[in-house]
Amino acid sequence: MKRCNNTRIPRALHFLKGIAIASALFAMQQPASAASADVATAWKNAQKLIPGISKETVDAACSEGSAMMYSLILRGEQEGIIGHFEKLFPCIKLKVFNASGGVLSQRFTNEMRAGNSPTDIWMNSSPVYGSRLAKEGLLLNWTPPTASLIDDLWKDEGYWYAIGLAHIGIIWNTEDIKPEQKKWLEGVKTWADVPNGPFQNNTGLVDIRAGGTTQIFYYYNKQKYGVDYWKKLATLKPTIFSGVNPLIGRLVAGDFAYAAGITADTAGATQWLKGAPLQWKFPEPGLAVPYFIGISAKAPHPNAAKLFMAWSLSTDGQNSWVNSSGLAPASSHATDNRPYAKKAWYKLPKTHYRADWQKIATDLKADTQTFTSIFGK
Amino acid sequence: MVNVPQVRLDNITKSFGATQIVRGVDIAIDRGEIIALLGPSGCGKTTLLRCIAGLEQPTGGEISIGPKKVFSSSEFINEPPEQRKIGLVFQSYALWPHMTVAQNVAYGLHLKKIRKSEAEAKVQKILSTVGLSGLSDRFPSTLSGGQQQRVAVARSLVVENDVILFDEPLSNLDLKLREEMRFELRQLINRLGLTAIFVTHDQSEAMVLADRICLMHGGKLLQTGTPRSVYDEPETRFAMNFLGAANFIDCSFVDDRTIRIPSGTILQIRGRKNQAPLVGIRPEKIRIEPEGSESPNALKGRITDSVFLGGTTLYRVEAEGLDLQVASPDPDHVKGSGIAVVLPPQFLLSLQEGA
Amino acid sequence: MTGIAVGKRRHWLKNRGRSYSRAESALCAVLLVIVGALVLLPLGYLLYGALRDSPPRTPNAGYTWANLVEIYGSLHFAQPFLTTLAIGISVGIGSAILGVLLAWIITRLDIPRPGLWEKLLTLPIYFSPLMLALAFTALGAPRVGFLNLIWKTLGGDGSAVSVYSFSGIVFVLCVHYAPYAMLVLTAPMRSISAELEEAARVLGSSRWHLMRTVTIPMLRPAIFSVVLIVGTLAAENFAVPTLLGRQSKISTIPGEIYFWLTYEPSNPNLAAAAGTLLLLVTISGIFVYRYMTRMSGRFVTITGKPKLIPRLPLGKWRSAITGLLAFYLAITTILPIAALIFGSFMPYIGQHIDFNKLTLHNYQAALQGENYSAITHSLFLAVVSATLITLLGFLVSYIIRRTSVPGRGLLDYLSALPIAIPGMVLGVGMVWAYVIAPFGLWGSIWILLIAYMARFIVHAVRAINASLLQVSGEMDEAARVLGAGIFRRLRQITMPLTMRALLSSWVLVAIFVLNELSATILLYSSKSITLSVLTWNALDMYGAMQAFAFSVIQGCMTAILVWVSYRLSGKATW
Repeated sequence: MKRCNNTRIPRALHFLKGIAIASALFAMQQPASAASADVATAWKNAQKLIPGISKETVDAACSEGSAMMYSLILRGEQEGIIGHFEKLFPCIKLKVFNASGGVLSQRFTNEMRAGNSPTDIWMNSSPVYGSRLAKEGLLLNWTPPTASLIDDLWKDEGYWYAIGLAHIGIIWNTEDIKPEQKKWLEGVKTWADVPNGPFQNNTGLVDIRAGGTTQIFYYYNKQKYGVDYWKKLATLKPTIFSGVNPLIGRLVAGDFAYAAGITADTAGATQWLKGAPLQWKFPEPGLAVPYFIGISAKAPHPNAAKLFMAWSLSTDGQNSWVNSSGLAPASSHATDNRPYAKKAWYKLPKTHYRADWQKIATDLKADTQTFTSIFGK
Repeated sequence: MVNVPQVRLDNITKSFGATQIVRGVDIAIDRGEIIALLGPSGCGKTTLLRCIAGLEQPTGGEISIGPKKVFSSSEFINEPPEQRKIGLVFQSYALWPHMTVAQNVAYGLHLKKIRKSEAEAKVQKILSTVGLSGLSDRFPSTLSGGQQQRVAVARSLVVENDVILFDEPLSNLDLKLREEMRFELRQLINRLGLTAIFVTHDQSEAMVLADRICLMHGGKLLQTGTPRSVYDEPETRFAMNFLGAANFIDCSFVDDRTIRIPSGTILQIRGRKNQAPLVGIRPEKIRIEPEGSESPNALKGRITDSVFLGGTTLYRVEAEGLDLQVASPDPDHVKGSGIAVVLPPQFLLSLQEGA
Repeated sequence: MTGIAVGKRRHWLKNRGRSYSRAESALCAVLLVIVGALVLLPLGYLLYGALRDSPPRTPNAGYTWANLVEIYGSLHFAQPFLTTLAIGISVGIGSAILGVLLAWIITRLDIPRPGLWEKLLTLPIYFSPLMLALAFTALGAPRVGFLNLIWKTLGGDGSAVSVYSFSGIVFVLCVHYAPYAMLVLTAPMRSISAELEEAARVLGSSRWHLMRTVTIPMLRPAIFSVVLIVGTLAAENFAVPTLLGRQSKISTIPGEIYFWLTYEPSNPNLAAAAGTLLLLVTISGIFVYRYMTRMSGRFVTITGKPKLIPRLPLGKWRSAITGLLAFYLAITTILPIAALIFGSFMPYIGQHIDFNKLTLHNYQAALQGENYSAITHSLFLAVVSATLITLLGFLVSYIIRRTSVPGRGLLDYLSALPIAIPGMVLGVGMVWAYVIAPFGLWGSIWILLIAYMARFIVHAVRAINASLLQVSGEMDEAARVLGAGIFRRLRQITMPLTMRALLSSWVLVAIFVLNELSATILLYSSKSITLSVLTWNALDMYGAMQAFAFSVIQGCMTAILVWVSYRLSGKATW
């Protein structure tokens, strides 16, 4: 006798399907075992590119077989860094988790404090935060053989090292500016000139709360020229954005023509590479924020992490980071092959402002209130 | 074993919050008996039935089915309906619309893990017993009310429980069908030797179907007896009124066999049973005789109204201050004429008030 | 065969004091544990975090009132709070009005092919609010949006519309939620028996008066429920106001929470405190709703198929009304879809539409390597979550509506509580609660599943409740008396009879899961990245047009899920 149900929904099938997919996904996560040819290639490349690295480290890294990087969202990371590294060191599979700054830090610290983090390498762009975590013992104390290649300004020796710099500059839509505006832009030399731009109702700025790269712009200028600087900016009646990328989108669309305090090499260049009509400039002194990496104190694959770190700081590594992510070099030894860097209008700043990151962080709350009162909410 | 009742209810009470729906009901039902729980809506009969089935939990009392106690409030026994092995036919039939007739009927058999072939045979057999062979693959929504009712009955019968409950089984059918089904149902139950309890508010249904009627009102069991005995010897005003038409006469007792009516006349009655100064007599027991009759309990009266009903004629008679209804096969008494109404003593019953 | 059955009212009485079996109470206990853990664990950590000065487990951390004082005691957040409320109320009321109008047109007026229109008008709910916001930025950006470009070519001056405004935010959210309102309201509108309306008409009521005094009051509980739910969902949305509001200096509490959680330096404790504020608002909303619907608590059920109300013939108005519907469809569905598709082939939005710039690059990037796994993750999560949530919701709904087990009231509240918890807030709580989870649960795709179960079970329970009420309890009792235990009855009797509702709950939850962003963005890992996260990150990484491509892919997946459920639903007769 046929049982009830004349509806033909195979509920069990749904379950089985889900379980099948789950198993497949699980299976895909198993690390591959290292082949000896790969180990040989890895050592060959390590010797060539990373002077000073020991064979033990490289062998240990290969037997560990993989590494997990918690990384900020960077343009060409997948091919330029991950792919390149895995080709050089085929015994290591590099996995990456991308998220924006706050999510990344919170995830890392929450996991570490709970004793349960899969991170090997951690990236960040807030020096004060990086050093605080180092002091708390969340970062491994290790000096890579290639550490000296990175300038002093951009590292906390033994803990974190910059793999690139995000320079702050001014940026404009080339299709939207008039000749006198163009002339003025060509004449901009220092940050003192920036608020004087002939761009009434035609300017974009990023909210001070949107991260270290915006904070340094506001902080430096207030510290040097006083709050009047901000007030002068406000007279341009700028549109305030919650992040640099929405701003760039509107700039390209022609909503306004001029923006200041922008990490042009990352956000602006991404659109430039697609053909957007943009140009940018870095007034003196250079304001820059380092993008740095450190090794987790409880890294499951410490040697793979060390290898990656050491490589990242080497000339080859630096070149890869710079050319794929678009960040400016943190090392004077790197070769800048970025397409826009070759343009005549592109100039990196000559001097660098030495920021007191701690003070920027402590002043932030008061600065935010000042910002809100001047620029409105 | 012979004298153990098939179903036994001891002092069942059921309250919903502050309201008492069933108050202290005791019933003992023998094997093979058909019992009707009869009463007006809200008297608690359906609640009582559901308590027997296990779908409601009584507040107090004990229920036994066969030798087994299935509910006892003092001993904290409460067997769930799944395990009580009784059948229940719902008023709305509760046929599963997504299953065919055959699947509906076979459901209980599958639960008992009866083999498919055997189950199929049983289903076909019961369907032909209830007169529905050939409809096994139809869906309930395509059947008529009467057919649906038979499917519901078949579903309960096929699992061969000893006790089967019916909740107003015929009330959703139209009059003609109802009358047919009454007889069929009774024959079926007797043939299969089942014990049946059914709930109804229709007294004629109860009279046809039941071996014994349990009359309920306001949660209490008023009177139990065969249809004849409850009809002929009701104990209360309510019982008399519910099971047929009645004339009530306020009176005062002279002694156990005699009463005095308001006009002063003395009448003989059957025998005093109760304290209440109330007697009653059925319209069809009152005789109309020519004026001046000498029969015992004759009263002088006059016909004030008459209604011709076909087999009987209903007369309204005013007699010595009493307003009586009389049912007579003779349609020819004329309105306004003077007659004598005779209230034979053996039919003049002493009653208790209310319930 | 229609009408109000007296029997049903009796049945309601029967529920109080019905006996319940040990299996039922065991099931209720198990469900209480599951739902309780799902909901209370993150909530508990959230409240704890609001009272601390650093995230849980930070060394040298302590208790503090500072966060709560900042949120509740200072005026810093008065403006975002009021804006959030304003958005919630505007969208709730706007969607309800649209929903009533659409539902009325679909069920009462004699338009051609009403069934088709019903399906078409439901479409915007299948796109996430983020996708719609993206589409409308392409359409309604000042100066360069497609609509404004057309306006310019037609000789107009400046911009015809700007989506970057409060009205833009409300508009986008209403477009998304109006179909939900319509869906919720068509069912009761249909089931109002023709006889109730005919009685009023016979007494001399005009159609308009009828609508005002009979139809709408009978729909009142449904309308309130729509205003509350849609208002809550709109108020807690962070993506749309963040995308569309910053330029006009519009900030909302969810937007602030997003800031504190995703930008450096982050302040998750303050975010948690702000989360409690949103919680309070929605909980009070629930109380208001229950109070207002208690007053109209007359329980009317209809047996059998209600006599269908004949449609109002439209005569010469027919084409006008149909045209109006078509216009609405164009604005809310066709144009955004077209904009998304078109935009997905562009590298960036510039001042002129340059057809030479069309490229497949966005799709190539979208389907390579790691991104491809996001597609499988999203599909897996949608299907598995929807199945588990529907099943769980079915069991919960059954216990609440069909049994008299003590403790089912608590189950009702627990399962509805997440509607008061905004997605981001739930995410924060879950991060803190589950980071210590064993067996590699943390960082896996199963964490997202748990988050979705907590977040969306209320929708399944709600959808199935209504359907369960229509199924007579006697069906269940009949099986019980024949000896069927609870799970058999659920499987063989109740489930088949509510299959339509189960399927529509399944597809609704699957789509919510597919579009879910606010909790996912805090809980995803490299092993569980989803399309919605990719879309949002693309706004940071490759630029908005990449996000368009992801949105189109997501839309296609939604279409597949909906199609599958329609096919299955067609085979289910109940």
